[in-house]
Amino acid sequence: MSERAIELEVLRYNPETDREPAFQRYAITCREEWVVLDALNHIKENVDPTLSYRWSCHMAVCGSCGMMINGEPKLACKAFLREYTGVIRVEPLRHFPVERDLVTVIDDFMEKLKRVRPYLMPKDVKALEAGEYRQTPAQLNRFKQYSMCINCMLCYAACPEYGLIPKYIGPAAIALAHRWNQDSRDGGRAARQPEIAATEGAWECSFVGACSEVCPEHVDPAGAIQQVKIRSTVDWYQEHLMPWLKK
Amino acid sequence: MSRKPYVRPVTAEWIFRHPRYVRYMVREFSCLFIGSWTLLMVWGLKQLAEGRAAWSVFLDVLKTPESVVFHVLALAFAAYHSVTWFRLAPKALPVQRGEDFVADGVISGAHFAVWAVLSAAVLLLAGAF
Amino acid sequence: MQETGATETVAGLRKEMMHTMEQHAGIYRSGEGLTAACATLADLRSRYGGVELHDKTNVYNTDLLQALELGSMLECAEAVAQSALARRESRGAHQRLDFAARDDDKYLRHSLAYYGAAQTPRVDYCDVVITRSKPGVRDYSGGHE
Repeated sequence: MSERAIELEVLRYNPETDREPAFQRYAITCREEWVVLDALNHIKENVDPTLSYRWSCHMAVCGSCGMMINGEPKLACKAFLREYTGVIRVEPLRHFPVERDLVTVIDDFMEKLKRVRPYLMPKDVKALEAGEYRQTPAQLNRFKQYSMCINCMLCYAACPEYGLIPKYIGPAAIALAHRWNQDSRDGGRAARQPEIAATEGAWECSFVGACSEVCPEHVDPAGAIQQVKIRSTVDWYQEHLMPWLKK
Repeated sequence: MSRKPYVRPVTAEWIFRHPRYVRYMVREFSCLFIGSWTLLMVWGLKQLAEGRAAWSVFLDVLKTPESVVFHVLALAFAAYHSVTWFRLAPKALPVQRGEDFVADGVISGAHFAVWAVLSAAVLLLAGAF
Repeated sequence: MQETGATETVAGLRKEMMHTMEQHAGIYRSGEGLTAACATLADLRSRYGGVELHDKTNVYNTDLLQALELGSMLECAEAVAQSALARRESRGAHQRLDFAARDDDKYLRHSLAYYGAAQTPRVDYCDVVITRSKPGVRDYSGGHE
């Protein structure tokens, strides 16, 4: 088991004592197979217990440890040290306010997620005795990739539109709305449209595509957003040219 | 609790943070050339409507070195825009056949094919061959 | 906890707890190992008082969070080890090399660990409520009907 000498440059911020964030450098010895999260845990356990950051599963399924690593939004548990040379710069996830060290305030995303109603609104409500809702593999595949979102918010950090226009609902929220819209059991598309078809919804997107590039679960939120745009356009024409048709 | 969340300022340097953002801005920048070319065509139409003399003026302008440089750049940017757009088309238009989706290459390929056919038709009508 | 002049670290105590549990209260257990685990955990719990908090902020203090979690984990660990030591049989995930058979007469009951005035938890039992799944032979070896 070989080891490496690594230097991490971490952006620190203590709201009780600091006016603004500043970098702190840590020089440590790491094992070759470590990820950035292992290095952070090592620092916290042995060098500096005051370093604060979020993490949980350490296997890229919970979405807690999103942060900027050498300027790229990544999951700290999925960023292998061996892929980096020189000093590794670790910063809190971009486009969110910094609470403390690497911990960001994620309230904006949580609120936007709620607004798109990311839950089943059944087309035909079934009584429990009537049994399960049934779905074919084809119906599942229609929405499956959008259900893989782990709410890690790397897409928000990558999206320049979200950075410049904080009102923008953002990639993950729209992708999750789209997940439910595509679900054959669901009848809530009309209820979600006012949010995702609004100006701050899909129309703020200019298809940069960075969100899909950084997504660790290959959800492809960019694709979802364009599909929402097309659907919204069809809706608009239907509403104005054939208002007697239900959405 | 003494919370004081810090908001990091967003500046224009985001464009240079990663090649993907530079490529995006180049793609978006193409709109300046495409827009200018469209205005040039509108002017050309106006000249055509005003008769032979006006039309000759238009043709002479088109033949100037500045115009040639502009057209070469405009073509390059427009082609870049079209190529990136067609390659992204499958993301916006997924086609599901049974359980699986039609391969991205097929949908992009169809776009390129139509582009080639239409271009050939236009050139034919323009007397290129 | 808190204040200065401390000798213990959260990470250090946590590592010792993890090592003891992995070694003595893991897949295969024995009376000897569990006795050692109980002694170590009792010792760790008393040393826990000597932990110093390095992060004294009131905003997202994960040093404090981890220290509080360690306290709870140590109590949990000792409850597990004491209950396992008292359970002189093997049942499901609790496999004892010194008591390999299952003993429904004595141990078809839930273990309850009570923390009172004494440091070491007292282990007591309550009956299992049997409804749909009845006790029976659980043979997963594949070589049976």
